[in-house]
Amino acid sequence: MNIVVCMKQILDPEVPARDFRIDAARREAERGSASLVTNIFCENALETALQSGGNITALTYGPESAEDTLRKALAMKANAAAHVAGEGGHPLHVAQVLAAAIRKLGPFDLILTGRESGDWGAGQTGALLAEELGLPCVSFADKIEVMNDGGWQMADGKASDSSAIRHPPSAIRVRRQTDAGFETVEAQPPLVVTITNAEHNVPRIPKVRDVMMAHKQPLTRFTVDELGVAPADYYEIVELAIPQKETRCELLDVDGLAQRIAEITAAL
Amino acid sequence: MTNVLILFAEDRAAQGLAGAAEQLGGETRAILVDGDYQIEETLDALVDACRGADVILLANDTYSQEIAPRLAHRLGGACVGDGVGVARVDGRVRVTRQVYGGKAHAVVEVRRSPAVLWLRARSFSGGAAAASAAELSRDPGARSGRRSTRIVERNVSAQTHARLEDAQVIISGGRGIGGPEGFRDELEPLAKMLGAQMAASRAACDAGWVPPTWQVGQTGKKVAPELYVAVAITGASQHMAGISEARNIVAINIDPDAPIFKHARYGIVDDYRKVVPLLRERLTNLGNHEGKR
Ligand SMILES: Cc1cc2nc3c(=O)[nH]c(=O)nc-3n(C[C@H](O)[C@H](O)[C@H](O)COP(=O)(O)OP(=O)(O)OC[C@H]3O[C@@H](n4cnc5c(N)ncnc54)[C@H](O)[C@@H]3O)c2cc1C
Repeated sequence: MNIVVCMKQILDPEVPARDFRIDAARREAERGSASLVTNIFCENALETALQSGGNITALTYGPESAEDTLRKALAMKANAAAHVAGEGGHPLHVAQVLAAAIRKLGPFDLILTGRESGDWGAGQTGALLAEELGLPCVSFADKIEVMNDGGWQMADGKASDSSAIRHPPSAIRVRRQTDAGFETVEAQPPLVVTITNAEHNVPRIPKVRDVMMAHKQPLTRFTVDELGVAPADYYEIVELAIPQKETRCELLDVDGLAQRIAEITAAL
Repeated sequence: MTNVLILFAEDRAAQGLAGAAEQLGGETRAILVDGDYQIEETLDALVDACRGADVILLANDTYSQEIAPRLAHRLGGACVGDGVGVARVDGRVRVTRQVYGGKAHAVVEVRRSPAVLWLRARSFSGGAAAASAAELSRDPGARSGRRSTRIVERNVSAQTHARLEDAQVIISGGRGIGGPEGFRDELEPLAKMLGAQMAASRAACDAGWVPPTWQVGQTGKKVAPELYVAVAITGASQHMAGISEARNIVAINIDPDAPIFKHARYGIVDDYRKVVPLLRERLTNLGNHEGKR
């Protein structure tokens, strides 16, 4: 089974609000002293892929620094990595670039993305990518099982010699999170799946030795021009601002708090 | 100008969408998607049903979120999600939404038509509900060959008899609760006393202590209760992104510097294991008192 995992490097989303600044003219966050990290849902997606077993390619579209995201993916034991150099943009442009790269790198049975990114949080890349590629899409998944030799298996990550790698699976079963609970979706590959976080897809920590090895592995490199993707209109950010909203907190003892809670709930 | 509202349920979200449509102006009709939801079939049917519309509005449930960008793509339009405000400026649709994990607000101007928007519907004041929603007509077996996904099982988690989004009182726990026992033995009895629903931070959900359906925040439920009691929750911006509409936030946290105190109306700085049992006792006493009066 061949899997491509689309991954994005972003400004550390856990930067505390008091250190967060924006460049209002450029309408984006200031880098400041924040570090760059891989979007958590992209790492959840890679972890999910690793557990499913298969030949995994990590793909990113981003500036030079985004190579760190690929090196980390390789250290986590992705088999190959590809970098489209460029500055991103609106979700349709990103989806068109990723689709073009996937056509060159593929074919793939499974195309994974994170459910959304921790910076702009548009939550569209996976869905638009499916449309660009003409594939079905399942969103908010947290577990993938593969049908092999007539039975479902949830690979255990030691899948390097499992049949999942050698044969394309006949079917894929996805568990996804909904407002009310879970749904199980059965699908025939190829398809796009967007991944959300769960207890069982917390990204593994790479071994030091694998981190070192990852730096020696070759990357496939593309530019947006080479892929032949022309700019398209979609939407523009016309304003960006930090809301000024702080509440004065009244510190109470338990008696005081019980009183307030009783008042609020009595008024309902 | 034509607005189309797509409803996956007839609840308070429908009124919010109608309110948003009123702010944008034009004629409005509504489509109700009923029955067996299957992703690709529903999408095909909605593409047909929405042709000719300038604006298509959806709520922030799972199905709306997954359908909206794909519907936009098929109709040649553009999608913006998680909107909390809409406006029409010089003929263009603008949407206000949180970005950077709730640390900033952006105004996004749509540059294609139709504008397909999914909104935090409950953040909008209600409009006159669009006359009556027509049921989505489906033509099973026709259309694109992309039938290769099938929802074969739906698993509704126990606690979701009432929607968290519509709860008036919410007791929410974070990583500082320390395990499922704290939720069960300390927070749930408090929630019972107050007729409250339970919720949690992502950290508590990721730890597997409570189900993911309890998660509140940027990537969880967006809630708007009269009272939100945040117990052992730091108050990261991504969590606060889900409770910006809460009327009264109460924080119980051992750390006086926790950011949650910048958003809370009332707070107690102490170990929740001490505070919560005492709080239950005091609330019981207050309740008895009121009863006697
Ligand atoms: C893209 C993205 C999306 C995200 N989406 C969400 C989301 O939807 N919802 C969400 O919640 N988070 C979300 N997060 C995660 C968020 O950034 C925080 O990491 C998370 O909210 C922290 O949860 P917490 O406050 O429970 O845990 P912690 O940050 O670990 O805080 C625990 C708190 O408990 C207190 N505490 C410890 N022991 C006690 C005690 N005995 N008594 C009282 N207090 C105690 C501590 O002082 C601390 O403040 C997201 C992050 C990213 C990057």
